[in-house]
Amino acid sequence: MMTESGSGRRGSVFSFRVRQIVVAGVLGAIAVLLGVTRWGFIPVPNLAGNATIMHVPAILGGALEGPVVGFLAGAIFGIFSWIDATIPLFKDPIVAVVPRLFIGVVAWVVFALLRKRSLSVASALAGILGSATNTVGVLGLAVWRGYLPPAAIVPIIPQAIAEAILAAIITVVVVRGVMLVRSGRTTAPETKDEERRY
Amino acid sequence: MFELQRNVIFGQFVDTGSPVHRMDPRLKLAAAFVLIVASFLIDTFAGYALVLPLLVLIHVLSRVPFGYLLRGSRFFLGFLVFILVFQVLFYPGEVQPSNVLWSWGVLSVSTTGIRFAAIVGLRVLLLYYVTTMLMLTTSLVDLTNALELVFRPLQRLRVPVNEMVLVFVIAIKFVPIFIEEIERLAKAQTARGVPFDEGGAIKRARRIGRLLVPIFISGFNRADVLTTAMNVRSYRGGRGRTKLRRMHASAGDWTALVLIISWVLVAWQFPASGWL
Repeated sequence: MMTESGSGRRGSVFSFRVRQIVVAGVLGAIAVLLGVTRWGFIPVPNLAGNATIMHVPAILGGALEGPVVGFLAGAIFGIFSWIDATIPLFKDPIVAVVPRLFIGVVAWVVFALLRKRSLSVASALAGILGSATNTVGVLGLAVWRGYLPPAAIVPIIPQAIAEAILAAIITVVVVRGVMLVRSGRTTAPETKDEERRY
Repeated sequence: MFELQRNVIFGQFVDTGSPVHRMDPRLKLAAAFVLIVASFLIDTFAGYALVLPLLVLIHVLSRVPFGYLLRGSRFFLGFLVFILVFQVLFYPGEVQPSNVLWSWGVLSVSTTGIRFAAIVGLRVLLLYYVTTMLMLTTSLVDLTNALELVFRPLQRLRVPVNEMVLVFVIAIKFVPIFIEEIERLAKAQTARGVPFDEGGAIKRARRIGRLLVPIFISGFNRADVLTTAMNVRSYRGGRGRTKLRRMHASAGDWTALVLIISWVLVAWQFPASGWL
């Protein structure tokens, strides 16, 4: 699984490994899936649309596979939310795509800094701060580009908190699950001490 | 829940061998781009009315069953209506008092709001239709080739175009696979006594969470398998790669593109007065 072809080749600024391309594509697919089935939206009607968990794949990509995958998965999420936009705000590619690029990168920084201490804390904070990146980035750009008056931010705050909490929960569970599968175990560890194994 | 595959057509390719399918993918992409730009520019009802015959023409030529498209867009259309109602109720712009039809607290229905929501709805529908039809009528190989060619100039700037296009294509390609998988998971959980069609919003959300974790984990597994498969076949981006089929645009393809561009220009510049 770790055979990396083409590492160290020249020709582009960032040379991607095959694994990074594939994982980013697959995570992007999950983001799109959450979008097309509408499961990724939790209806909290207001000017900004709905609370969403579509950014979670980008957070997971950043946390589990590094900044490049997080960046690319976020890009897919952004492009999809632009194509599929139902409100004028996301019809603007700058608002729809640019903030999403940084979700995975932020999640990666947080996760990499904290994973030595505790996997669960690292995942939860990666989820929360990744969500915050999305919210702050999108709303900040929306206000700056004049789609929303600054006052419209206030009613969105509870939704943003809900998004962050959901993202944190899902990130913790999935990171645990993926780590479990990768460690080759088939059952969950019985005591908490065994977390150190992964 | 069990009919997701029928109700979500994202990423599918319906090969009817029609002229629309056979159009050179580069020019088809260009035509789709023109129509996407049109969805931003046109902001009158008259303009959209003018574009409609063009879309009907494309659809008839493509021979994609309209019922199939409609059924596959069920979620999208339902959601769109829901959003548009809120656009009307919470219309943020300035409204002259004479235009207000009904108001209650912060909620109000005004002719300005309805017009705004209707235009937004048409804009969204056009964009959705164009991107959906592009995917329904273009095979992934064609789409990849066309995207690579369009973004080739970026390669000069050392942007890894081929790799980025591949990420995009994998994302599209995996959506139907995951939809199939979710259906299977939902059936398996139902067989074990999880009621999927009962309960309130929160219960439903929790059940979806129970589907998400296996999807992520199987996604990572599938990624591992695909990575191995690509490494075994020595994938190394687009450098030095040759194509089995060369694309070539016929005179008819160019005519179609020119026709679409001029049609859109007319619709955009069409003088509309008053409410239209």
